[in-house]
Amino acid sequence: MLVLKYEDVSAELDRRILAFIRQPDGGDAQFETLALALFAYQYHANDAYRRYCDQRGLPPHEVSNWRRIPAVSAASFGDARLATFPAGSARFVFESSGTTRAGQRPSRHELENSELYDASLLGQFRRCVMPDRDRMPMLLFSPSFAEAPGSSLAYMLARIFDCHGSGGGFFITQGVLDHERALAALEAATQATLVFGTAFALVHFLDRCRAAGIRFSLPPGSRVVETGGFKGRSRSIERVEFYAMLGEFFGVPRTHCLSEYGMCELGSQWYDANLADYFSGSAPRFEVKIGPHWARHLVVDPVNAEPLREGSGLLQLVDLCNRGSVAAVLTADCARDESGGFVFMGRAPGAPPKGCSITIDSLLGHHA
Amino acid sequence: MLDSETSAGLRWTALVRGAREWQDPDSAVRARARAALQDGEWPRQTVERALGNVLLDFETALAAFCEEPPAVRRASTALAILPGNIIGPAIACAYCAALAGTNLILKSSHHERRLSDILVEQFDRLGPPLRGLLSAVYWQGGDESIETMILRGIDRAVVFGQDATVASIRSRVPPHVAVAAYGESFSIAVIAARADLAEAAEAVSWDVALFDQRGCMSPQTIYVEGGADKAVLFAQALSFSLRRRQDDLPRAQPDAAEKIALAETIRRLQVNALPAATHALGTMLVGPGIEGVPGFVVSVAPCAPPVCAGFGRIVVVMPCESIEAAADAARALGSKLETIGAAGIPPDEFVLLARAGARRICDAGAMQAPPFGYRPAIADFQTEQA
Repeated sequence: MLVLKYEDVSAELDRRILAFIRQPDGGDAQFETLALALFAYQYHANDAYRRYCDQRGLPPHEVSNWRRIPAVSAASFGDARLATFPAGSARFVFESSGTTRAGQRPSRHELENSELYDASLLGQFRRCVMPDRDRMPMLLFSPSFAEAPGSSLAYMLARIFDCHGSGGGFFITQGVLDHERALAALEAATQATLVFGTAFALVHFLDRCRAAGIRFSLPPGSRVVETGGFKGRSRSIERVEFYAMLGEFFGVPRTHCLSEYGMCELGSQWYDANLADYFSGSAPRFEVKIGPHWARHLVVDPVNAEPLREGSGLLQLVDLCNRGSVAAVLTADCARDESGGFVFMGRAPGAPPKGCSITIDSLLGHHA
Repeated sequence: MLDSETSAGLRWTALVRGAREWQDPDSAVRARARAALQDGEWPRQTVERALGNVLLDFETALAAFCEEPPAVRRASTALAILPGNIIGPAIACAYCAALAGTNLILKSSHHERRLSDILVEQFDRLGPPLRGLLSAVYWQGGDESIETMILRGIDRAVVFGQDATVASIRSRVPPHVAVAAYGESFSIAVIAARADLAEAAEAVSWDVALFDQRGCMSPQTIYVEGGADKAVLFAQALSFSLRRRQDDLPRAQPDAAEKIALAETIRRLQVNALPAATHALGTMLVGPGIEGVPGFVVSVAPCAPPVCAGFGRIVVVMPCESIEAAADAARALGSKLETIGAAGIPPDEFVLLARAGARRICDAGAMQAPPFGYRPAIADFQTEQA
């Protein structure tokens, strides 16, 4: 009788997924094969997920298509330990910044290792944000990972900075935006620079710039990435107004301003397609978020979770990077399919505000 | 004995007449309230039960109040900011304030704006000691001009609502205004091993069904003393009782947002539900619904701190080793633990549950019928003796 060890199966899956990530592109059939293998593995190795699949009557032998893999609610990462490996052996633990009701806990995503996570975030970042160069100065409106070790955003930016940065750094320390240092860094920029931060940190910063009558003209090739969205905290402004502010104060064209979509429950990220389109010579798809070939999205009916052929619904993601937890995650965000990606349409009704931006914004609201 | 010669005595006599009208399903005031609420979100049966509960023991409370008048004086004018999730606080506030002799402004929720007017008309009709004591207002939250004017004219405020609402009001009232707050809170029930499971389930089902788990006295999580098998059996019994409640106390029609939230909550509960291993009985019991929306959801999960869905007749049943273990688990709610409904636990043993820190412990089945003067309290409408 053949007995497979958990370590061997996990390592084999990691190897296959990593190889898939490193391909320039991935076909549907290959994705489906990997997704179904991963589902079967997670069903057997993840107790809470197995209970969930059984309750829904969808064990692996009932699922023959990646679109049918049972997706857990993103909030379930706060309700149960969704991991395939023993408790206490996580290399990293990321926690959400969302608000919770009494008796509820924030989401918690444990990573057994960071190999897939790193390969995914760096690959997708290069494709969507820096397809034209290997390194550039980075001004990051976020705490460093050392300061926020539970933040998936801080981890992602730390890896990006280490691998692709050439000067700059993190501008939020002890919850406070270092306004003067950020001003000085922006004024001193002599080469194309990346500004990356939460929407609210950027709004706080630009509000102060506006009050002081300060504007910048960043060198050509500079770009701005915002994340965290507009989730009902602090000063809430319209997206159009916000992007106009980014252009006005940083002196960066609209084609070079984009949004990142990610969450602590997922290993992969989605970015607006416009910058990648710009560099590939295509018409820029503003607001259309594109994912990597190792993560796919579905728009589903918010009540029965069935895929929708058209219109808006809840965003469901299947991410092969989530090898150690659950690959299929149903978010509480509304979206609609468009031009090979999806357009984010805000939080679903009734869902509590949630997102990396909120913790940082609440700190800024007190200290800025 | 009431002193009918005094102003207070006259007021109390009028209040007794008024309370009896509210308790009489055939009275004109009940008919008016029924008509006013018939287009609201709650079904007719819920409205009747809620209206009948509010002043059920008013005369007992009045007798106690008269025997031991508190050493405080009435406030001159109070403001009650009413909740939108349940029926009853408008009536309770009006009668508590009137008992204290305090003028009251009732500020309705946008969910239900007519009950306050009916109370004002009733008080005016009941005669001079009550006439003019009540007034009803409504303004959109955030209308600072009206709000500032009203807040300046009061010396007490009684606020129901979400914590954010309470905090917002506290931050805006003038310094001399004392605020009694009834913010977000949650309740649980505990079923002792000696309880008859079918009887306990029947009792709890009334607490669950009235207000569809949206009230602060709705039992969100029910601890069953014993092993998982007993919890599963209780869940089955509760499921049967909740099916019956759909006939005599139907669920409110859910809106689109509630349908989405319900689907999401079911998915989340499925992650923690116990495997269906005992007698092949299910551990996620979803009641037949209307238009595809479940009538109720009963989930059986391992013992843990309470899960509080707060809507949709969603109940989580958890096994617990002992009554004390249930109380310990409930302590996770801290100051947000409102009421514990108990089955199979005689009142002289309620002390076993006291360590949970609940504000109130009562029999299961009576959770939604707190004594008059409990929430709000008469003292909420009085100020300290100068």
